[in-house]
Amino acid sequence: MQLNKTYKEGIATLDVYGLPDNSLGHDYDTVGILLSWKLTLIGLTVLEGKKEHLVNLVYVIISYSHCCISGQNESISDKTNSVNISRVKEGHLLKLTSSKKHVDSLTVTLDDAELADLTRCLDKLQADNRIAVNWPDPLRAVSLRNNFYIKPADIRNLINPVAGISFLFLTAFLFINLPTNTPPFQSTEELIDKKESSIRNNK
Amino acid sequence: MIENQAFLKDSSNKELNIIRPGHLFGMQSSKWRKAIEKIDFLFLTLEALDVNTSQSFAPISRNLDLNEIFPNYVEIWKSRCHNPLRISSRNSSISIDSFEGLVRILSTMSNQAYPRIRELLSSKGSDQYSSEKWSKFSLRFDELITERMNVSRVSVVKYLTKASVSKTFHKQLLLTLALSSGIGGLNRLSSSIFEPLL
Repeated sequence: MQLNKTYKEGIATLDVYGLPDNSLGHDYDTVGILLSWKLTLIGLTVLEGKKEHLVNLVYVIISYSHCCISGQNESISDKTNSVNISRVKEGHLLKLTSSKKHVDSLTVTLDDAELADLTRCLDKLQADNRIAVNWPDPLRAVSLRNNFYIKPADIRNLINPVAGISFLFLTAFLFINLPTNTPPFQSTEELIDKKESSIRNNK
Repeated sequence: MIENQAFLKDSSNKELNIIRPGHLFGMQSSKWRKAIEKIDFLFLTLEALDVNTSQSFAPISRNLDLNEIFPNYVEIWKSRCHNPLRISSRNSSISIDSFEGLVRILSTMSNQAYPRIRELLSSKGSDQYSSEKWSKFSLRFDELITERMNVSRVSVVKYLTKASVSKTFHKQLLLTLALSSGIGGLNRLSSSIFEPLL
């Protein structure tokens, strides 16, 4: 029997249709085989597609939301370039390119509220254990990437301490090698001999 | 400076993996200070949306089982005062537990305030109504900044100037709150908390 799961959030309503995968031991309420989905963005458009399209959409929207919350204005696409979202003056331009040659690409402009609705709707889908799909985890990848590499800002923070320590060592080195006016070292015996000879000369 | 990993748990009890910059000889790094600054500004945005927001801090803290960290409202307030831009700023370092507690409270509160946040972010609807809402919100937000922040500091003046010139600063704060709400919100907020505000 076909299953239908619905997720609603503001203007976004997502319907997912599928079947339990008995070969993997799924219970009767778990969608293991995702047959199709329908995303209704009230007042904007209705999107439909296969499992791969939904996975790509989830990846792109969740990644883009992470960029937005981090204050970055990056354009995000999936590997096949079928879904793309970028910031435009009016909001966020979502572009969906069909794999079929004769079908034109579809563009939808979302405002901030609509983007938040869509993100929250897809969050609900990802969090639902009754959908047995391996969703991509862009958030983790972005987070680790951002923290793993040394950023230019971090390098800039190191300039002052490195310059200070270098200056300290340079000053110490110069003081150690500073030429002094002290006479060359003479042993006590040499000094006594010198003094005696000078006394003898005076006599 | 060593970076250590912290583990927050989201609503589904899944551990959230965040890398946190460590403390250097007990001093807070600039990343920490900026993050506390960001958290405090987000709290101020929530307070600007609803005057009674501060009343719900304590119940939310109790619901999230944060009684040990924040036994009362004053402790939450004291933690927020680690923001270096405040008039009555605290010089000591904020504890990791308090920091994580504030992030969790913020995510929960933004979820509660989502309908109001959405209303302001939406470009649809009557222009007159939305501009009225915006002017009320921005006025209250600027009042809160001048009331609580040290306005002689350059950063505060910079924020006030940004806010007066365009809606971008306010919109970024509201969008951050909108995306911090919901099931995946805490995860998103945690992983972006060390990113600069603007």
